[in-house]
Amino acid sequence: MAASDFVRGLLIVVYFCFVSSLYEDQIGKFDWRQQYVGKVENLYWEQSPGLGMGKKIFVSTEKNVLAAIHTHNGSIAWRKVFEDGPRGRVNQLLYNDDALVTVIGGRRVIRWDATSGNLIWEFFLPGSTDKPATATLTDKTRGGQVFALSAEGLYGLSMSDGSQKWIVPLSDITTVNYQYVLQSEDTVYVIGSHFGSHVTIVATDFEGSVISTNLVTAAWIKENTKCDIVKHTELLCYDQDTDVFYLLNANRPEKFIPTSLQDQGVTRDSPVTTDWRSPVASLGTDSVVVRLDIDHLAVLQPTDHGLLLKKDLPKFAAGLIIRLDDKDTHRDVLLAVQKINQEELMLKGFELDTGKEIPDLNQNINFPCSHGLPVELTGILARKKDGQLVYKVIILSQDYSIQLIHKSGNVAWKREEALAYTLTVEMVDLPVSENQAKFEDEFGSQEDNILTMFTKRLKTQISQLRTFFERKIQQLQGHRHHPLTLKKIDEDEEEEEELLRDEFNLHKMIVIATAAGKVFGMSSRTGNILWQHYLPDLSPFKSLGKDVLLLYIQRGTSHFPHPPQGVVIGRNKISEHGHLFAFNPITGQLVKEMPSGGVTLNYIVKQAFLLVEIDEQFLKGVVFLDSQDQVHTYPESIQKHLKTVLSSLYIYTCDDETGLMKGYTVSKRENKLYADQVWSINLQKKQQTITQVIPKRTNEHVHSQGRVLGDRTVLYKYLNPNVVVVITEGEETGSQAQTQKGPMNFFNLYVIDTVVGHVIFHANHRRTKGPISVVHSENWIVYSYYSDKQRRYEMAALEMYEGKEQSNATAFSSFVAPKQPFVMRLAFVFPLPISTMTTTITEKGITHKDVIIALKTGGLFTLPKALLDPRRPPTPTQETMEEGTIPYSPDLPVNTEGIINYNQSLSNIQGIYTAPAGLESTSLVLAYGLDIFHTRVEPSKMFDVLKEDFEHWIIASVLAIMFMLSFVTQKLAARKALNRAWK
Amino acid sequence: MKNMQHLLHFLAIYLVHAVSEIIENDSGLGSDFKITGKVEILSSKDKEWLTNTQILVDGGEYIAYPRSDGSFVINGLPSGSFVVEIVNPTYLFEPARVEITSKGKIRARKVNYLQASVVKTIPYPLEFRERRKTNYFQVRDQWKITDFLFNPMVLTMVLPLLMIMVLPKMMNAADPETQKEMQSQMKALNDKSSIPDMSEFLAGLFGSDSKKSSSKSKAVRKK
Repeated sequence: MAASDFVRGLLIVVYFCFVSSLYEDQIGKFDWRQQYVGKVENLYWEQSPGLGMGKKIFVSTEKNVLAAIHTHNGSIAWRKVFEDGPRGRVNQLLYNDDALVTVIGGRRVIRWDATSGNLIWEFFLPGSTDKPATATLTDKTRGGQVFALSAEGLYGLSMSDGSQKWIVPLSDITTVNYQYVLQSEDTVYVIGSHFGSHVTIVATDFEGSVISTNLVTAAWIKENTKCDIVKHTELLCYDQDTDVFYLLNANRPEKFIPTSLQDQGVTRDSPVTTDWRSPVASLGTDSVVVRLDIDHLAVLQPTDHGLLLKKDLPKFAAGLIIRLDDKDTHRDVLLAVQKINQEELMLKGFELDTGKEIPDLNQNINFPCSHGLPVELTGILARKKDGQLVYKVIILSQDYSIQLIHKSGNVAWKREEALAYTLTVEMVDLPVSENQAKFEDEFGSQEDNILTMFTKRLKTQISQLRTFFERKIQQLQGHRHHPLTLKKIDEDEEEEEELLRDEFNLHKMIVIATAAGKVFGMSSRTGNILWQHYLPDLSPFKSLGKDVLLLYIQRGTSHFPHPPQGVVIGRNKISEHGHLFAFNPITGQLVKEMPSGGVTLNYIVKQAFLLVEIDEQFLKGVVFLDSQDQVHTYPESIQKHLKTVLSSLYIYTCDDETGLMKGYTVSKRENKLYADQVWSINLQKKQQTITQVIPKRTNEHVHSQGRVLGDRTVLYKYLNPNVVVVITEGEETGSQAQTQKGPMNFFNLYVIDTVVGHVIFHANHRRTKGPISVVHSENWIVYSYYSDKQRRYEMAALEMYEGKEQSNATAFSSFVAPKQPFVMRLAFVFPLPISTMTTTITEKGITHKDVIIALKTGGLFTLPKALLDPRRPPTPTQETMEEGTIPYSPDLPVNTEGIINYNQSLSNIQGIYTAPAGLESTSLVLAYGLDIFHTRVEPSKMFDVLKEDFEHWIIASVLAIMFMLSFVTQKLAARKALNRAWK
Repeated sequence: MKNMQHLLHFLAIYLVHAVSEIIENDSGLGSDFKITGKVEILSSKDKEWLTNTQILVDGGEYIAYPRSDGSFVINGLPSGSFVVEIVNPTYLFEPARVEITSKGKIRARKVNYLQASVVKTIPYPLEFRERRKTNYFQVRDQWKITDFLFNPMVLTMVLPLLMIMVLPKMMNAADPETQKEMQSQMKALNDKSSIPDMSEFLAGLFGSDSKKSSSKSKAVRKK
């Protein structure tokens, strides 16, 4: 027993050598990380009067993040990520007098230290989470209190330690929805609305005693009415149906004063669109900027007689009122931006009292159309000693980007927050240099005879030589002529990368499609964004409860005269029809006749996929199945090619609403292509829902057809390319199922051949729950789940084999499929929570596979597939040792050396993309989510190039010593021979 | 009869108990239990670690952040069993399992995924201390002269070398008569020995003069 333990230990040690881990000196050599915060919802500028204004901004975002961003370079000072879903939602961000307070998940009131980001105190509001709480802060001068309003009462909290000072219980909480808390000099007002009837205003003093309770009739108020607090004590509401603004002063709660903008002389095409969180775009001390349309603003001043229109701003997309403190006077200045052409914004400054333009402030800002329209403007304004006005302005745009602009109109920095919404990633090979392409061309054409091939070879080599010398000369000249500007050139060179393939094809172009409707091209070497497009009409498909955008590379870079082509497919935001955008993935240029926002297809896309075959133009077509079961293609011209391969075209669909999986063949009728259903599988919608469908990757190579066993026979793999894994999740029904511990969850795993609709394998896991992550590759499936019974995360490995004989070695056909494959399974305990996982992929599939697991604790962990092998024997025998399987132990070893992102923790990883590099040993990895991380892994170590730490000088010195020694000994031997001859 | 009454009484109590439990369960949907604890790092006085420390419950279902003294509270939990983990990129901590009954009784124990039934309680409120610094990197094997010298292969080479170099010198120092004696002894020995090539080697060695032997030893070193 001890001996077997020893053997086991030894084997594990041996296998650990395969774990791809890093050396300390490799930090940052080929990996990079980018951190994001998400779409900004609330933004405050830091106010610390002693240290100069606005060193940082504080933001809370849609991604449940609270962060501080440095204003000098846009880097994150600190960031706090909360739970997914409603519990972690940052409902409110308040900032006053250096106190930073958030309301999270509707119930948690937390104060943060603004400089370090540490938590100071947390107060948990009792009650339900249905109605999120709101809060307001007082100044230090007025006691430093936080007034938090929950659904049941108003709490007075101490700012310094978060202790509860008093509570005012509210009445009629079942009918009145208390939503707003306001404060004046010495009074706190709570406003609740009884929909369709009235609002209740409760006034209390700062010590928690109720002063008055008033009812004000407001029959128009509804659940979706949007209100905002203006001028501290006034409530401004907007009623969509009648297009009327209502104003209420909490100090004198008598009635709402209605104001119609038409009466004020504002003309516009359509009433206020409702996708704004509130109609108020910016708050001033006396006036407010109200958004009337996507590019129409108005400045309103609340008065005792209703709202007064101060300025109508048609064609302005975002505006801001800032109070400028001159020596003794206060002036309100309005800054507003207007889009003047595709590439520029015009920022204008107005004096609010007089409505006059301040020409000093007018400025053109470079604003490419890839940002859409500006949505929000915030900033600070100051007067310099010489009387000049300076400002720093932050523009939030439709594409979720944040950019800071100085007085000069220069963009100081930009954050592309759309990247936090990455849905799909592809990596594209960079093109080879022109010379290299010509070189390849030589072998490309088959008509040439030897002589022309030879002349071609000579020509290319001469041109190669020429470019080499030209470059050398350029370099020399560059160094001679511009010795002073050398530094600047270097900087430029850094920015302008050469988009050429490197020797081992390790650097690629990363194409990213995001849910924000933005498509990026990114260099994998540095992570710099090389091109970007904003598609305002594009939104993701909803498929199996998830957002999906399709991104296909139709033509790679290896067909030289033809440019590469990629395509993004999604759904039109309004019409639900398909929306398509085709581009060159290397340069970012649009494909001919492609409008800059993409084209909307005239059908609803039910299924879309990329053909494997290429046409004469080396282009892979995209095939669509629409809701009428008609088949379309992109480009249209590919239909001709498609008709030749119709007999081998099969389509499957999966519908989570009906629980049906259907298979189709395609046939031609009246010159149109139609899909005819051939099979369907009912996955029992009543009991379970389909949550995932996982096919294999089409670009995967399987090098070895089988496994050599201990007795030297071969166990052949079941390599059916048409297989998908379907996961369904459900809750157990029936009398036994309801236990004290709540409902019993289960999930089912089906392995289905999508050509014939045959269920090859089915497994049921009871008392387990998701989220389930699945890796499907070659003949194996690895999936992870949470076992409710054992209360731990488990991982199961499943492998399918044909047996000891292979049915058809050349091509697999589902119609003459081999007999049922036999399936081996084994489960393991994995001690850490998993968010997603995938497997490495290499050029030829010779290298061992690693499973890359994104942990919820922030790590990216590699686990050799050999540990997730269902053939691991419980007790090792001679035969299994011969085969090289590791003896089974239920726990998978997690050792921190396998964490490839070392201390660069990653938040909320949603997916991992792997791509083969030119080296067989290497696989490129991109993990995306709130953060983006790129690195390489070598699952079997670097076996095809010399290691980095290969000690050249030792080898060289040993050789030199050997050489010298042989020389000396030769001399000595000669002398000895001479001496002997003399004897 | 009395017995029966007793039983009924018991039953009634049980029923009341059960009912009250159900009510509590219902109100438990409001789920206001909390877990408290403290994180400490003894090996470093720097408070830098606080900023990037997170407390994860059940792998991120609930997240909390520590206060500046390292203490933390996770509010709004339902009853059940939770795994509390401290996440920090620099330090490693041991997770803890916390069980909250529907009445709000809390106990903490060590996490044991392999044998879930084994209970090893730990004190509550939780106390987390760093186990060690996380090691993410492999150590590069560096070439050191000592490694080379103490290599057994090298040692086995050095010993014969010493014998070849030093022993003949010692012989030379001694007077020629004993040398001759030894040579004859050696010859006698060699004749009997079963390693012919070794004896030849030695014979050749001792037969030659000092220069010859030195050149030979160099040749050996070459190997």
